[in-house]
Amino acid sequence: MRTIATEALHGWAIAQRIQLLSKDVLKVNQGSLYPALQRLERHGWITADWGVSDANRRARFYRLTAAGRERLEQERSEWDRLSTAISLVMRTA
Amino acid sequence: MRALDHAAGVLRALFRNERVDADLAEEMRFHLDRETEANIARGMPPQAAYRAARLTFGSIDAAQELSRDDRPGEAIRRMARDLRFGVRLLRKSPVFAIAGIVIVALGIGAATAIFSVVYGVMLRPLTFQEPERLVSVWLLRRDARNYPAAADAHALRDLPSVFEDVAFFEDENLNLVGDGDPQRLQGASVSPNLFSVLGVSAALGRTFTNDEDQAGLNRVVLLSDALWRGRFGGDRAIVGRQLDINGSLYTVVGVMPPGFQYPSSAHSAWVPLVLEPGELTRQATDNYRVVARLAPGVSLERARSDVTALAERLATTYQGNAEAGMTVDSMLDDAVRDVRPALMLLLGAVSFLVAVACMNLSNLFAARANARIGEFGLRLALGASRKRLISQAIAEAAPVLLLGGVLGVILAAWAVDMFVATAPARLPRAESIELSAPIIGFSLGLLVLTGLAVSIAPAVQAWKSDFTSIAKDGNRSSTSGRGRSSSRRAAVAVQIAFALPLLVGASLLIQSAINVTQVDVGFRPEGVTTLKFEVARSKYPSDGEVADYYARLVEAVRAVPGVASVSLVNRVPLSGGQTNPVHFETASGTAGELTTVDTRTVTPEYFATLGIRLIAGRGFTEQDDADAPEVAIVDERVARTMWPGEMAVGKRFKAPAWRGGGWVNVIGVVGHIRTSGLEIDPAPQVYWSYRQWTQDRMALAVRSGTISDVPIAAITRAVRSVDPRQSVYDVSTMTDIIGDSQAQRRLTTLLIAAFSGIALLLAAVGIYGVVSYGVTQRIREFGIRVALGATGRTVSRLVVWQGVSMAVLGSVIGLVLAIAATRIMANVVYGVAPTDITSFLGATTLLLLVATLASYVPSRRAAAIDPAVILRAE
Repeated sequence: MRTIATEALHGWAIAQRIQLLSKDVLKVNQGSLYPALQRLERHGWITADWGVSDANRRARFYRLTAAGRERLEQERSEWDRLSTAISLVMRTA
Repeated sequence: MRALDHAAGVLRALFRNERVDADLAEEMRFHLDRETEANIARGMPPQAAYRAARLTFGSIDAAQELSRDDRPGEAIRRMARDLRFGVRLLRKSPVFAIAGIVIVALGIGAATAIFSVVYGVMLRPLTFQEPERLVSVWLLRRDARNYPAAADAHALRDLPSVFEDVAFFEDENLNLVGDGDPQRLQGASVSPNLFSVLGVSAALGRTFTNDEDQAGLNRVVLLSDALWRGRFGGDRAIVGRQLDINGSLYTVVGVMPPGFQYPSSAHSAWVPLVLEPGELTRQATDNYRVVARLAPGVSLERARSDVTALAERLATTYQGNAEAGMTVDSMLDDAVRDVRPALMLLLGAVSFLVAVACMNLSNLFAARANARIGEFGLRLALGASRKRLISQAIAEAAPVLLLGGVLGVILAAWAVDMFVATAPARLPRAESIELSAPIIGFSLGLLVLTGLAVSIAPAVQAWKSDFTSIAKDGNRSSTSGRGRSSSRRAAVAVQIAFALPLLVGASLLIQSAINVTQVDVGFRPEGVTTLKFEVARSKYPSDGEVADYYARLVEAVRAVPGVASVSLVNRVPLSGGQTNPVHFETASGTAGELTTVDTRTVTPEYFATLGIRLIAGRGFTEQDDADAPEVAIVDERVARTMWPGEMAVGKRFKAPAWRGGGWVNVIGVVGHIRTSGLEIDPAPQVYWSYRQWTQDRMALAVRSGTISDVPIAAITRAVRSVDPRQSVYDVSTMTDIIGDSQAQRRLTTLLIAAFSGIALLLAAVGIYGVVSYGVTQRIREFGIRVALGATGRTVSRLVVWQGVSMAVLGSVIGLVLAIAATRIMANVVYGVAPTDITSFLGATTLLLLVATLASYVPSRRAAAIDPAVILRAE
């Protein structure tokens, strides 16, 4: 969700962005991205529209919704708390 | 709201499924193309670029699958898919499908219909307020239930801690005149509190007030809904109108609600009961039905013990209560006492039939499932989840169970309609029989659970054993797996065991029905038409006037063309009677012991009209009237038991105390006849002259002189020519009366015979199925046997024995079951013992014969085996 927080992207672009941002550490099967996107869509956190890509082809663009943004904030703060806690524990230990 | 949203989502997903799939496919294609382009841009050759793109993407199908599994409504879609698959499988094996559907339909149809009847008649609560507190009170004489007297009912009212209130009533003929033909109404004279005891109020107007049982205030009448609508066109102004009933004017005070059918559905009017002055000191005979409402919290047992104590007190108070006990029955039990044995029998029979059907179904499904156990194993090995296997097994069974169930319910609805339409008139509460949801649910649940349990079994078995052994066992073994086949053989034995008692029962009932038709009734019923009427005492107050009126009636009907003989009797044969205690004279000339005799009042020609033999002495004449000495005619049974070896004519007996108790001379002896029904050997019979013991209710018996019966219209015209206000009722031929008295027996016999026929058929199919399946399983074994020198006969005998051995085992269990089950038939059979050895042997032989035949057919296939063909197929 983070990847589409600022702009609407299509599936391939999302995959590229994830790979890039994670510096190739999170290299999942790109195929499994789509079921995940559909799940997010069903929860109402993202929406998708058919549009025209830069290569002039029909593509589906995903965008974060208001509910999704809220959820992202929540997850992020959750994650921050958790990771801070973990790193604290790891470091002191 | 959330639930609604979710449901909407599921629906949307169900209908837009293909669209979503297509979108996803296009999206992923786009993804791959972009990835390929990017790879080419990085300098890869196109082929390798595409390959690399596919590699990073992973499986397209898996992504599609994952997406589908995740979508809402997937479970429903999968079920629908499985169902489609199930239907497809069935279309490929129509024999299995039809057999399954027929078994389920028959089982559910029969069970639902009979359960509905039993529930409607015996269990459904009466439609009165708090019906569980309503009871009937009976006087017990030598354990037989008798109607109590008004004095007894009043004594019960003095037990307020037990009974909240006590009402009593008797049947009454109400002759309604005016607005068309005179009409006889089946009415009842009731104590005014009857309606408050039952907790019913009038739909229109009011019920009786407590002082309306006083002479002078009693000319009021309540009408039934049916009478009000039928005869008075539902006119709401009926309340307050005066009707001419039994020659007096009665004011209509109310109309009862449509559902009020008490004491029976035939009752259409109620009038207050006015007691005779002597009745409360108990000078009169027992003649009221007593219904009471228990005080809150009083149990039936408590009421019973209290009335028993009361009866002991009353026995010393009233002479008529000497030696009499009292008991209390719940009103519902009371209403259905007569039909309970027959209904319990049907209930038992249908349970056995359902047991046979369940076993049959289980074998059918098991055979099919066994054949597919290898497939299930394979699916499991290829990664199907256990949930999937079970849901698929269910989906395959579902079409058969659903179709069979629907057919069964339709069948039951039809059967219940037929039953109610053709039910014997004497069946109580026929109006409350209907198909009800809980009953359908019950029988549906029974068979569906069986079907499901059996069809899931192979899936369960598949995951319990490992794949290799299933694959081996499923395809290669030369003898059948012992465990599975023995459970199927057991199921066949159980079917036989349950079918046998049904066959024995049917045999007993059919024998009984035949025995009953061969009963010698003692008279010639053919060609005799009867109708009933009641004389209006307001018009003919004295016995002499009534007797003269009767004589005129007889003469008028005699003049009708085609009439050979005509006479009157207070009760026609086979419709019950009036019993009275008399003292026959002993050899020493003193009065002997009290003997209960069946008493009838007749006109002189009665014996000729009915064809009853005159054995000795003379018949009555018109001169045997009130001024002449009292005379009577006795039947041969009185003559034989009272004065054995002597001439009965010229002997005497003492009339009942309430008829003066004087000596009566016997002037003739006639044949003994059936008075209370074909199956009941009645008490000894004594006849009185109509001019000496005049009765108000009489029946006209007319013997036709030609082959055809005398036209009813001509008879009633003749009656009306004597008195235009005379109504008649219950017009029937003697033959029909005999037929109607057998209606319940015929119906029970027919149903049990049908059930046993179905059970026999199912058992035969069951044996055939198992043996035939066994032949298929063991075909290699038989091939080897034949190759090693066994003849076709040996193999055939082996197969037949397999079927017959199941039947023998089942028959042994079945005989034990039958001995236990037929004991409840003691009240239902006639002229044959419930342990009749012929029935038991006959039924067993028939079953074994059918079993042999059902095994012989598949054995022919085994015998015809060509070992070369079988072994080459290896």
